[in-house]
Amino acid sequence: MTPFQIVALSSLAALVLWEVARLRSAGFSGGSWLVRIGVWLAAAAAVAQPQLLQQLANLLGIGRGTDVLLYLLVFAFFGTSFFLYARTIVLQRQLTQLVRRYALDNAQRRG
Amino acid sequence: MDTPFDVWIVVPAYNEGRRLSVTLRNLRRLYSNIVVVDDGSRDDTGQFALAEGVWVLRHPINCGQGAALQTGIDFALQQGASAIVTFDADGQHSVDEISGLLEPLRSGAADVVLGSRFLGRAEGLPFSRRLVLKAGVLFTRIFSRIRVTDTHNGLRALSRHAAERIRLHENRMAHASEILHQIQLLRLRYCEQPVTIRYTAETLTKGQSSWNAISILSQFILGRFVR
Repeated sequence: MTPFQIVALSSLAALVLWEVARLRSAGFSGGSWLVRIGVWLAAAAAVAQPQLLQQLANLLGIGRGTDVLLYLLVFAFFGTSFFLYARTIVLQRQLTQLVRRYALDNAQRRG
Repeated sequence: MDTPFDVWIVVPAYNEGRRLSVTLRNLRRLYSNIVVVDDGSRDDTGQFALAEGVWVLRHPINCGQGAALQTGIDFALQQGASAIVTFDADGQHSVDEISGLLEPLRSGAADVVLGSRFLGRAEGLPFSRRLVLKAGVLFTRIFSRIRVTDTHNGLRALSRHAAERIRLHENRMAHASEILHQIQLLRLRYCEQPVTIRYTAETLTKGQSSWNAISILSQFILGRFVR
């Protein structure tokens, strides 16, 4: 095992343990925890066995394992960007409602 | 002065300062129900408005013209408005043209009357701005399937029926496209009235840059996907 693998795998193991500990106290509701643990485990597999990514690339006809990773990152980037954009818009609309309520409750006219 | 047909004028204002006083004084000559929505101005816009004896609503933070309009419309509805006119704070609209806008509402011929500078007159409109506005008209015809000659005109009149149904979610400038989109979606009856818009060096500096059209367009399209 290379020094990088040791560092990366122990960090990922810590993340999974932290996730499980958090879930034990908060309860296993919703499905997003499955996705998160799935991502950590996939990352661990790719670090421990780099040829897995190459095999996946061959299977998909992409060529190099690093390209698979690049494509996945691009998808993840766009997905995350849109998710955050949508969250911002929702928050902005909630904030506007609050601002509007304040303005309506404090209407003024002189004289 | 107003007849029992209760007309409310909504003026969204952001950092308008003294210029707002002139606009409000002109409005006060003919209308008594005026509400200024001070959209988190950093100057004394709110004080100038209060000095003119109109209703003033203040957004503690700047939310955008669309948000300010919706706040003003909500207030006017609370006060029992029969019709609501939206009017820009910078004095580019003419007060005398409001009565023409209200006529189709009074007679019940329309729910929404949109001012059009391209049916009327646009004084001092630079060529680049004209081009962008025309592109907006084309986009609206394709995207919202509504045939209008002017899409981003701040002078318009809504019946109570229309104002209660239209709900602006686009806080910033995309609200103009949003109103048209909702008119079509809610099957409101609309018509256009020729109006005159006077551009001055000052209104052009403060107003939207032509490049903003790109950002308005993307806000409008992306906003459709967020509920």
